Amino acid sequence: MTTIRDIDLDLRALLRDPGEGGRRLAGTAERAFRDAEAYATYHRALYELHDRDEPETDCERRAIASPAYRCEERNISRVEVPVALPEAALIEAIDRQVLSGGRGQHPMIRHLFGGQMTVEEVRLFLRHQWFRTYRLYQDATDLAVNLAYDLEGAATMARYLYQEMGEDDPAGAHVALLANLLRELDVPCDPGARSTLLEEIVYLNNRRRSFRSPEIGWAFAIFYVTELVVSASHQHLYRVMRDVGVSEQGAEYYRVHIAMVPPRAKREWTFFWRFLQRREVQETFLTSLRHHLEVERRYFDAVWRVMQALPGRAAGRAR
Amino acid sequence: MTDRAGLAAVIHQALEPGAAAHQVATAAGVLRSLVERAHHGDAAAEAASQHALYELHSRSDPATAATRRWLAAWVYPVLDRYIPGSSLPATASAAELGAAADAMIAARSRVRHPMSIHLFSGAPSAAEISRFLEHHWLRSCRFYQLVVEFAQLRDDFADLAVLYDNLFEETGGGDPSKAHPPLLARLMRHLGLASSFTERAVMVEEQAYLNNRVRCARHEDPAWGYAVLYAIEAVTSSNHRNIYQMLRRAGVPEDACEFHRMHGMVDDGHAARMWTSIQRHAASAGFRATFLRSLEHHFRLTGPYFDALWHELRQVERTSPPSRPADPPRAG
Repeated sequence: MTTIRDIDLDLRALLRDPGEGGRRLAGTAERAFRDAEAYATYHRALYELHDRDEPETDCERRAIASPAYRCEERNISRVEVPVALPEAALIEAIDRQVLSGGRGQHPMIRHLFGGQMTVEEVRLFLRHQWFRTYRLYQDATDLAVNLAYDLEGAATMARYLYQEMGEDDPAGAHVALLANLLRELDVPCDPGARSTLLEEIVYLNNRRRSFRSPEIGWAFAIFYVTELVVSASHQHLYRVMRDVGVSEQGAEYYRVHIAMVPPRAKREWTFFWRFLQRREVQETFLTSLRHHLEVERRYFDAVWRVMQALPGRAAGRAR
Repeated sequence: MTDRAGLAAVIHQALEPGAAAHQVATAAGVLRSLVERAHHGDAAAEAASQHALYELHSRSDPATAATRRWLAAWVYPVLDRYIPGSSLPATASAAELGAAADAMIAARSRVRHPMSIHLFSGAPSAAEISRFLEHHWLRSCRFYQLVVEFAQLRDDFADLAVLYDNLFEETGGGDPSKAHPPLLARLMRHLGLASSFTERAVMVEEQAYLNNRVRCARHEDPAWGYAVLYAIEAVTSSNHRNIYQMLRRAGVPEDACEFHRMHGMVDDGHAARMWTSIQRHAASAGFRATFLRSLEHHFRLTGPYFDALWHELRQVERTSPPSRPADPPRAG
């Protein structure tokens, strides 16, 4: 496993002097925008900082990551919004981005929704669904802490977290439902799972940075687009799972989101709009959305390549 | 320059946009040395460091949140180091821990404090009730923030389900207008009292009490946070029923008393649910020892805080006639 030592940053030493550690990591983040090797090194190190399950070093790990986050935010090319858009125009701009660059257009998703996946392909897809999903509640909790100063923000995130955690039944927590599905198809679903796929690591790092950012436009974009597509997407996935023989109970994870999310997303938008009336927040939101969709496309491309190389994959299935 | 002004100046620099790492380190060092001095009996250092820590905890600006949290985290280990172990004998099981905790809460909770007896069984003036509520606002308006910060470091779904359920209810069950702070604010407005999130505690005992709650909620060891959250939830229900009766006797209309009427009903449930989580952790002897240590420290700070409040209340000029004497308060 790649560790933070790969960029010559001894984690123990960093934790003793997080100020210096933050400076060095930010230096690598800066190079990552021009140098593919630095890019890989930076993201693997950041992933290690994000996902080490050590509450006792949580604060230090955040402090080390923070200057690198700001460096990324300076380097990601901005969408320019000269004057604040009215609500309908902003929604239109968002929909345009999602329609042209969202995952719905991706060949892997079209292949999946087209009902042509083999069980092996479904298993691979679900393995990556696990990496994307099982720590999402941690990102959402970071956002909840960021928004806690705003009561409506706290209430919005509380509703989301309460529902995702199964309301009052931890056995119904959405991560637990996903684990049931994965177990039914013999897909590993360990809570300490670490990805080794660079594009996936970048996707997860970007989500975490955005959810932690003090500029809430970064988080709102990813949160909003995830909620926006989940109902339709999970409706398809529910059917795909049933088609490959998953039981009704096993497919519960996908079924549960179909009706639950749209009314919740509507309320969330009303809350976001309060902040989004400001031009700068719109700019950050649209920048984050574009960047997230690019990172997601590269991530799905990478999984798709792995899927296409699966042994015994029927020729001609790929589109 | 006084300790307080010097500390405020270095913290101000550390929180400026683009502050250098060495400026943050300097502020952390100054704060930490004042906390050390406070523990060696320096009252000015105690006042300065509690005030600074309170500001770090209470400011609402997201841009400085990470640095504020980082600075505060520098002092938590020092504060931890000076907190003595529990004076109680070690408990051997979750059931013994429960009995010890409930006995401590019954013996030391504020319900028995002379101020509570005066407010709930005596004849408090309107001015005294107002002063009491101003401090109540400072304790209550950010309670939900403790819950979300405590949840941030937990990864067990059984813990999280209980905490998010609590948070969901505190924030109005999906309707922010029914969240607990606006309900309490309704009462405050009715009485002409300030109820914004920018209200600040100035009394050092109150700052120390509130700072300790935040330190415990952010602690990597869940025993610290669970002890404080449980101590609060366990007495809230009976306490808020008493406050409700006090308000009604003082002629406050039912609608303005909604916060206390409702809270008087739900928090017993919160405490019971929280105990199911605590019970799971309490299989560990280390958890049980830290839980009691935290609980005892919480009451070590609650005592002087309520003494100081009581002192302040007795200074309040009785500007309005006393309300009708009450029936004895309910046990709780």
